[in-house]
Amino acid sequence: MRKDVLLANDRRLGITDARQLRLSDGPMDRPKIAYVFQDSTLLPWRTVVENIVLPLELAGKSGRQSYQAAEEALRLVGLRDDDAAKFPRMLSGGMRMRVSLARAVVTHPQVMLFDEPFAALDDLLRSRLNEEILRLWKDQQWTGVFVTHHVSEAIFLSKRVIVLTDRPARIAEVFDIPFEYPRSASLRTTPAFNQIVEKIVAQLRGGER
Amino acid sequence: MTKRLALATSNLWPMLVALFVLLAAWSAAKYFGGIRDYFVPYPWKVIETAIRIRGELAEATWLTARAAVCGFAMSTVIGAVIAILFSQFRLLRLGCFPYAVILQTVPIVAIAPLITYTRGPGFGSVVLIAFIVSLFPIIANFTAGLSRVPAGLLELFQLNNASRWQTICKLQIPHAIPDLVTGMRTSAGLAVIGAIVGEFFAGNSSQGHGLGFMVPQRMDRLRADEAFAAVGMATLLGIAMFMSVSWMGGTLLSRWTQADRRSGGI
Repeated sequence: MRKDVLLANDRRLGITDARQLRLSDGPMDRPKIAYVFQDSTLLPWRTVVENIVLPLELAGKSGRQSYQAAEEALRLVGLRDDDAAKFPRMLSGGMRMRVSLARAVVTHPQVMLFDEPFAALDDLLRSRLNEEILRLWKDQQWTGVFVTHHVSEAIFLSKRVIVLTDRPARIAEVFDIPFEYPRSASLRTTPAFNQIVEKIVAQLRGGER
Repeated sequence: MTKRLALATSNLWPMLVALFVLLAAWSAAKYFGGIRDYFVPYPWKVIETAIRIRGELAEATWLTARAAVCGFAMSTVIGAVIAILFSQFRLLRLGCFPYAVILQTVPIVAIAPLITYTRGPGFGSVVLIAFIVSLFPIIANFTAGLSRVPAGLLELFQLNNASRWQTICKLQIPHAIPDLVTGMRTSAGLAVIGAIVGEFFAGNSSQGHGLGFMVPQRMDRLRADEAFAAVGMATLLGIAMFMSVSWMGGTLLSRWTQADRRSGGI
């Protein structure tokens, strides 16, 4: 599958319309896109499951089937069934992020756009959620574009890392990441991994000048 | 539960003492100052009178309450609709919101006679005055809530291709419900004031008369005890309105606050 997906570094640059994307089988008219933001952006008056069902509801599907899909998504992101009836403010930041992930995958998207989703979380939680994302990706087979300032996160997740320049955002360099999937947390400590980290960091440092 | 009760009573007794001191001061001032009964009666005399004329008082209170509730209901419904329109159409808001503020600033005591003059006295005019007085807090609070939805949530709806109607119903209105309730609390008290002021000017009708009509009427007849009893009932009515709206608001808002309360308990 060719995934020559090129996005600018932020959804604010106008990639709300998917026609700019080219996927495997030539240009696609309207691939299903889902977003995960830096904030979990949950509706505080809705329970967890009601938040997850929202994209389906907005697409005009709000029957029992949608709720079943939402509960499935809930389990997929590692939340428990009894979390479904909780309100967002009863949850920790990590759990809220999981709900946000569930809300994105519930539509079975073809493309997932991540806009620095874990920037506000601590490192341990962040690497755990990185593993979960890889698991979701394997399960659901979407194409992911993940914007981050965290170098090792980028390498750990990706087949390809695109380093962008600062204002104007242009492609500085593209790194292909050779590690096989499934990847586990221990990958981060291997010398090969750190070599790539150093290369990318050097590239970023160079861009500062 | 018992703990809450104990807390309530421990908070209650300073209030009771204050009330007692006030009543004692009132009686003492009257006794030593030689204030006549037809100006200010003794507190117990007011209660006695209230019990004696309870039928008439109840009827007047009922009429005033109905006017206040009708005015309040109108301002809630119409105010909410106006706020939704304001939140959707910027030009409309820019054009009309200043006038809503002006409407608020004009003292109702000045408008009430005009309304009575053009519409004639009666229940309808009283309701209209209660409505005008209580309208603004609904518009102001609800409009603010509707237009202060966090940008991230709006973006979420846009990216999911939500229609304008969906954005109003599923995002803006639920987000603004707490503000609506805040507005309604203020508005409920104002509706009672509006009804009573309205009755001062437009209260006499064939259907009987409310508390606002009763007060000046009894003062004119030198029945201060009856006027004071009517004032007392008006106060109780205001408290009752405020409390029932607060209670309804609390029930309505359980989705917004429940989580807070539960996590606070742990």
